[in-house]
Amino acid sequence: MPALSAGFWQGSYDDSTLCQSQPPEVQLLLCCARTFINAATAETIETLCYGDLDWSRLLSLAAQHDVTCLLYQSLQDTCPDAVPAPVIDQLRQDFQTWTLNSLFFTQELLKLLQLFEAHHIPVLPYKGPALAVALYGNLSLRPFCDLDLLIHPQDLVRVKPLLAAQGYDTLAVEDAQEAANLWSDSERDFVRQDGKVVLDVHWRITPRFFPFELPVEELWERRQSLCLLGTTVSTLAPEDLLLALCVHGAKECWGKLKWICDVAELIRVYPNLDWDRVLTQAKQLHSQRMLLLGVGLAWQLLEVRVPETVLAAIQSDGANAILPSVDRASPTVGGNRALPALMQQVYSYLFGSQPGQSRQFSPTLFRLRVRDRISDQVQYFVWRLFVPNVRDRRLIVLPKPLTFFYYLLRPLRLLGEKLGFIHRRILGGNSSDDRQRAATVQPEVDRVGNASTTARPRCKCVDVYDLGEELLIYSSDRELGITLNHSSKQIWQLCDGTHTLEDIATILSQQLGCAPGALLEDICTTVMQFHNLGLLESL
Amino acid sequence: MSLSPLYITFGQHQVVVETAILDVHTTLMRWFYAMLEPQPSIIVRRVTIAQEAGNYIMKSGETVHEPIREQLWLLQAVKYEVVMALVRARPDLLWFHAGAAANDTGAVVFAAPGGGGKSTLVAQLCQQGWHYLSDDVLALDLTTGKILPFPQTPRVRQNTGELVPSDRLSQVPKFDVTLDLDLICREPLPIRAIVFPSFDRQTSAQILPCSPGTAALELLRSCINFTDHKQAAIQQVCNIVKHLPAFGLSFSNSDCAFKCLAQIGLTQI
Repeated sequence: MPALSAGFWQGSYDDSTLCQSQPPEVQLLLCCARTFINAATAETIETLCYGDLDWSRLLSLAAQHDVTCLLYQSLQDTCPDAVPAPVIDQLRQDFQTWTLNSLFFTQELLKLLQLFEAHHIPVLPYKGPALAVALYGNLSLRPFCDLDLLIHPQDLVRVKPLLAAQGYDTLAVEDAQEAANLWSDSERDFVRQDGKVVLDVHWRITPRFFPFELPVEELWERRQSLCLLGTTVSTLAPEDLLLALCVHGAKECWGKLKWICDVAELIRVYPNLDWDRVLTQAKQLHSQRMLLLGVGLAWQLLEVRVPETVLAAIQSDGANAILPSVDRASPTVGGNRALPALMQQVYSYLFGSQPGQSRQFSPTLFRLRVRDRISDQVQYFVWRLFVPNVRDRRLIVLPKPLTFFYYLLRPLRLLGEKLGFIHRRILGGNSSDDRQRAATVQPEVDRVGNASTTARPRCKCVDVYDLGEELLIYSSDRELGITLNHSSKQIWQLCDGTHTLEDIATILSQQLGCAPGALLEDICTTVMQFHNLGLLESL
Repeated sequence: MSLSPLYITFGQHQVVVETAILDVHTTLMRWFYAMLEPQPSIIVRRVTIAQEAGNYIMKSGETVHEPIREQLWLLQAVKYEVVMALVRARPDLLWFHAGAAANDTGAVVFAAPGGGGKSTLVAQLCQQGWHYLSDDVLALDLTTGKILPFPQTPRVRQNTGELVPSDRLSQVPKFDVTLDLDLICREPLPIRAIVFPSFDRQTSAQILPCSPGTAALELLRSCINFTDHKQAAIQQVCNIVKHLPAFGLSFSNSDCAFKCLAQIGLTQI
């Protein structure tokens, strides 16, 4: 039942500086990152396209934020003649690549859904193809690199052998030990043996340290249907999906514009959304600030129409702000109001022009600031620091009477990872959490970072000349010669289609005696440079 | 007045230049005096220069070029035709836009774009008793790894004391450096070191080692006929840079540059 059928308001904060002095590339990207473009926006797009624009920066931003396809469609629909031919060619090529990728994943998803149905395992696909179709009406417009399924917790032990029979690998965990993992964890990753598909099987929407304790049964009861390549499938109800998207976005610090686009498209596609229910549920789940932040970003950056009551809630948030502003470098908007300050932080994080800007950003502090109450923050710390998960249990197998030692082990394990003595991958680091962590390390390389555990970059067949510490590469088809220093040479030699970026980080960290995490960012940057130079066959 | 043809020779190949214009003939003789042969051998190009209605007309092979009014421009066009004809006559060699001078231990190659200081440094070394190979064009024998002399007369730009944009470099006057014939190297020589000079009016002289990778790319950038050889060129260049020292030299004063070369032991005869 629609709770708010009227009262939409499209104003802006009286003192908002969120989008002031945007570079034209950011302005254009924001105008194009939507499926519905009104006449005023179309005019702005055209004006920007004919203005002084750094097209390569625009392409780079679009790729960084996974909105290349939206950019392509919007430019094609509004002013294709204003776009330089090489730019539109590049966008078209990316669009086609993503379309093929989406079709491939969707077919795999449908195959898996059929399998689960045959074994009477209820499953809700969300994110990935379901999200693309539900919110964008088109598989091509919303890129994704893995599949996400939501199951009942007790079905995990049934799902594992089924997926194994389909050629999916996962952590080797005894079924008897899964009860503890089901309690502490939220998902398990399965990777198809050819490395082309990563399937995240969730039994919770978010990790335990983030509050979203909506039982799967309730989500299942409220599910909606949608049509994927001619097949009807179930997915989350829009109200649940909105909350899930906002919590997920907060967990990932809204590091990509595509996550804000998801919220904006959902609000646009479901004009009769039951906002009362969403707000009430968010309050019950202590996720109100996360919801309002997501909606506020969609409203501010993508001009989506939001009910007055929600806007009022956004503006009034922060009267009870718990933590002071984190981003001391840039003054917060609206004094001590929490949400405007958080939105300003997200904007800086998304589009900060200075290379070091994103590194000043503290994800942990941000995640604390988006929590509603002090007790939520304490809970976050306790869960993060002390509550063991599957990785802790894989590090050392303790007899049942000693399992309480895992609570002591976890902080040590985290410290070991930080210092590089323990590598997460060995313990099962294939979670989407890890992939996103890699992606948030450096947003500008996130097309690589996003695929850090799945991508197995393979170098093209080029002429290679060994210069001892260095390597000279000559690509005859591109008539391009480059030299690689010692580090880049090692990365290049591991880009053989069998090593993931994390593998490469692990191998090099062993040689250099440092933590793999410390190398991942540089490895991503280097591989991205190989990719941009056309030296990779696949990424 | 009849003037004898100029047989400008590289190995067995010659470009013959014929003209009845005394100034032009004299200047070309001065520019190529160490490459002239009295008799024809394998003529790969015939260049004739005439004068009509106050303009110079150059014919190279069957091509008649646009009339040129200025004599200096004509001479530079003739030089270019001569050099390129000889380069094309030996596609088996790898040609570089580089200069070189040698002592008993081998040749030091100076590779740089125009205005980098190749001629200045080579001339400076030769004035210290080094043997001259070339100030602008060098050929590398891919089979032996040795460089072949191309001893056109070094022409050094005057130091105007001003920063000259690359598109106006040709307007800066040059003067010829006449070397004794016994200082002209006639035999292929192994390379001893590679220097990548760059002239910068605002810098004090500085020489720094180059990594093999950087040196390889710089050398390949200086290659005139890379497309004839591609992979073979890269292979040979890689072999060279792997085993030889390479340096980047920035300078504004040739004496200081010479001292830099001395510091690393490159100027000892």
